[in-house]
Amino acid sequence: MDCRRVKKSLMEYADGGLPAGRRDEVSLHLEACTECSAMADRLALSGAALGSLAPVEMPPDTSARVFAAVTAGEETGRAAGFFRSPRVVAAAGLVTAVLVGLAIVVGLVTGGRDGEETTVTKRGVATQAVSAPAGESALQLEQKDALGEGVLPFASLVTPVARATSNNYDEASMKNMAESLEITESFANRYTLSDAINMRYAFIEKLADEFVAAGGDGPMLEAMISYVQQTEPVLLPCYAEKALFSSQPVYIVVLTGPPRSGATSQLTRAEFWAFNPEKFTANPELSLVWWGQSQK
Amino acid sequence: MQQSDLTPMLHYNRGMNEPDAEVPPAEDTLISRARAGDRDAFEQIFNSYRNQVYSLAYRMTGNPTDAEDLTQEVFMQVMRKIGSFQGRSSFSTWLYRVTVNRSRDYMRSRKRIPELLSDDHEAVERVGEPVGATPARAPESGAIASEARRLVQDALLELPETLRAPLVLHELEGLEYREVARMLRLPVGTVKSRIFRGRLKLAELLEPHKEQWR
Repeated sequence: MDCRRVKKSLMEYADGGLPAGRRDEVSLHLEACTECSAMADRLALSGAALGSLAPVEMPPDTSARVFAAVTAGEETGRAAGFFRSPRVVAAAGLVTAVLVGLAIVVGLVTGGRDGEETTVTKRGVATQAVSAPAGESALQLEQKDALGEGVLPFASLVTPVARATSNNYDEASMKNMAESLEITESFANRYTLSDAINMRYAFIEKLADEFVAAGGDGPMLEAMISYVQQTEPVLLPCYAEKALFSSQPVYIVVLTGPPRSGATSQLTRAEFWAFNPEKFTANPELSLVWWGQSQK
Repeated sequence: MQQSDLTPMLHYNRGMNEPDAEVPPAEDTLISRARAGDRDAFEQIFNSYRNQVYSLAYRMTGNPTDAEDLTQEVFMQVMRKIGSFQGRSSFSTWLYRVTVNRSRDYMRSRKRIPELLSDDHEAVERVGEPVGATPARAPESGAIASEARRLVQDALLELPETLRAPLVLHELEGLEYREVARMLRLPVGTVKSRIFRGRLKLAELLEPHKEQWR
């Protein structure tokens, strides 16, 4: 038995899950191989350590508090979950007080009450906060919404598009599609690298939802995007299409990123990946049927 | 490894054939009712899954206050998005995925923002206490066991997120490799490899204290 084969069974061996015959084979190897033996010891240590952790349950009082906050948050249309954190709320108290004071002064001058909202933290403490649109760019507000924080409707962003078509692409028509896809232009004009950093997870979810609505397999699409992002994590997905390529089924995924070289951080580069979904689960690398990129 | 103390509904969702598992309420009915705005149905969903979400959030953040914040955020997101839940994966899988994604975002935000209050080590100790003794996890009493658990949780937090998430989902939440793969949108081989590497890294971090688990 060689080291490579032993390593495949080593975790089960360390956890005591190997059948007797195989366990004996591994034991025999470990007696002669110090490297594998040391690895088995480490796996046994981490297994014992993880096994010593007790199950975690939410304390009952916490449960009641969280449920009350969730439902209260929904009723009041609360946004920006991070700001419900009691520690953040506590630390932000001084800033809030200053802002409230400022708002009162402004209110006295203008007589207006816009921008005030009363929120209930999960600790059950009513907190008056001032939403100050002037302090945040429209894009920042949109980003919050894209992350599910509900400040502006998602529709106000240029969002990724998914569709199912009866297109049966070949090399030439795929290149043509890659060069003429309008949404890559919109993303290039609209988004920068920092948008990709902040919004990529929300956009992946959005694209997967759209893809499911179009009749595609959302989780499979997300798996493909995750595969692409293993080598380049910060890419913003803009388009997915369920189609055919040389009569075989493909999911085409288009992601945008900044140019490989150059000063701009705009997402002017688009990568086009076409995977065969029937082969992807078994071997992502072999499922790739076409790849290309365009530069705006 | 060890199965966490999860709800009967979760066991049902995973297709686990436990003879003593209770028959859960019809989940799709509950979801439909919650989607239509039925508060009682949402509360039942919350009660069925709160421990699953809280446990995973706690293991990912190592802090009960963060876990509480995250649980709240996850269920708010569930409330908003339950209408778009397609039923293509189990509700439990979807919920795990939302929790992992929110934990990832949360930890990223926390890195950018200085610690505002002191650590919650005391509270962590309370959370870390066993909630139910199982044969495989007979609780050791006293400060030594508590300290050992603290060391493990701290070591988990030192792992990169790419290793921590699959490790926690498989080793602590008891999900199969293929379930973890589906949830994290990774090939099964990648998940296995990350768990293997995570276990080795964890051992490396715990090596100076290894007598605790002998």
